[in-house]
Amino acid sequence: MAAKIELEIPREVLEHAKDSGISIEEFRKSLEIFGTMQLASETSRLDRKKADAMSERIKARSWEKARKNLGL
Amino acid sequence: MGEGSEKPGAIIIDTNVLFSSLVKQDGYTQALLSILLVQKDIVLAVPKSIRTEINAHIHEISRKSGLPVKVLKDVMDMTLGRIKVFGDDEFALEIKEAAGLVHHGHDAPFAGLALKLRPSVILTYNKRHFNSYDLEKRGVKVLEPCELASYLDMVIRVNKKVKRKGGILKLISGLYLLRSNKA
Repeated sequence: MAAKIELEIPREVLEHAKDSGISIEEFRKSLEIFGTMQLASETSRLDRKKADAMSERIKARSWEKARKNLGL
Repeated sequence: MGEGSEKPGAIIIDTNVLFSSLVKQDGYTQALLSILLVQKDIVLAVPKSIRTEINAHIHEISRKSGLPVKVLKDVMDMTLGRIKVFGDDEFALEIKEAAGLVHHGHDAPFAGLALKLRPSVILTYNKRHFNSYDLEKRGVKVLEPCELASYLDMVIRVNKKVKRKGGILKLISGLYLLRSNKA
């Protein structure tokens, strides 16, 4: 279930963005994604090094299976 | 327009970039992904086998990150859910070709998918894992997140004369201009 938070943006800034051709709907979606990532990562114990190591392991396991499936 | 300045048809997202959504210090990459994920004109892609494997390891990722599984699933749905997945059998020939263009076999599906969707970009934190020179000759750029905005800005300046802007603003204006350039 989604929760909503309110954001206030100065009217002039919003108008300027609209006049510059920026889609406010797309911008809203971007903010939703960014906000979700930021809130989640703020409490994460992962640093870049650990994330890289985990990424490499997952890619290696995935590749083992893919190679078999593709007969490589 | 030269090959190096061609608008990318697709951006292949390496797993290490996907995981930046779970790393506290990676605000820039999170902002970049947030903007890219809502663009309709640029295809973001990953091999299906990678998405499957991430889902299979969600409990391990949860343990290591300290994030509840439900939170992880929400974040992954929000990102992976907006990225197009391609079954490895759809680009098997390109994976074979890519085997000689990467330093670790497990990067071959990323390079293979990039070859399939070229002109394209591989977005990664580990450029050294890819043979960038030979990939670029085949229409694939290998870029780190901090380089993507500048690259798109360069593509735009080749196509249209526009003022230089900085950072994320450069990327946002770049993506909008790419769209108008297509029209």
